[in-house]
Amino acid sequence: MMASLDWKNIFLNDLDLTIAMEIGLRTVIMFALVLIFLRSTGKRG
Amino acid sequence: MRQLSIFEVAIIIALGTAAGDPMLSGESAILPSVLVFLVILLVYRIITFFAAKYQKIENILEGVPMYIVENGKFTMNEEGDANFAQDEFFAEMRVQGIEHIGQVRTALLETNGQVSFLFFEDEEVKPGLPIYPKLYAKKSKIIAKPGLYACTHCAEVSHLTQQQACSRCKKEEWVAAINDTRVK
Repeated sequence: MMASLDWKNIFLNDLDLTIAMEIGLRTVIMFALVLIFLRSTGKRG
Repeated sequence: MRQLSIFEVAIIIALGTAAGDPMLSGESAILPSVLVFLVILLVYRIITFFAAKYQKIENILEGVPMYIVENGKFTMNEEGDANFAQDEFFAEMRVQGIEHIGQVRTALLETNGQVSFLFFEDEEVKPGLPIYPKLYAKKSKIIAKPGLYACTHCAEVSHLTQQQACSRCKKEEWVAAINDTRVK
């Protein structure tokens, strides 16, 4: 059973340097957008 | 380093899907999610570093504390701020054992949403707007008998004998002011 698990697929899938950099960039942009949105609601805490 | 409160929410939102996707979906691998965690951690560290260094950046991110009550009255400069919900603030005051606004010297809305209070000494307490529902619900434009009334909008207290607008905020609804001191 365990042998049939594709560990490479679980951990890496098709991750390479280009995709990794794209994920990093997407994360920064989306995180900034979430922050801007939360800030603009004016809600505190 | 001090936590920036708005980040807690942002991080929960951001990490929510990053952690959840590899749990559910065969398409999502784990390392990309780990990468997302690390990038968010890095961004968080960078921003908190600069927020600690430059007050201006912290003010933009966090906002600044806002005076709500000064000298037993609501401040007027926050007029029209939709985020300032009066009934929410009344609840906050009641939880702190406050019966009317005349007991409060200063109330400050902190950037994390908590409210800080400074109180008058018993002999300095002045007539003020009652905030417990039974009394507050008696608000009216009609002044039945002469006496001290508190404006329901700005908490200004005036001696009224007839229907009139508040001298401070021009609103017309009043509640009979009370003068109880705080029981500790």
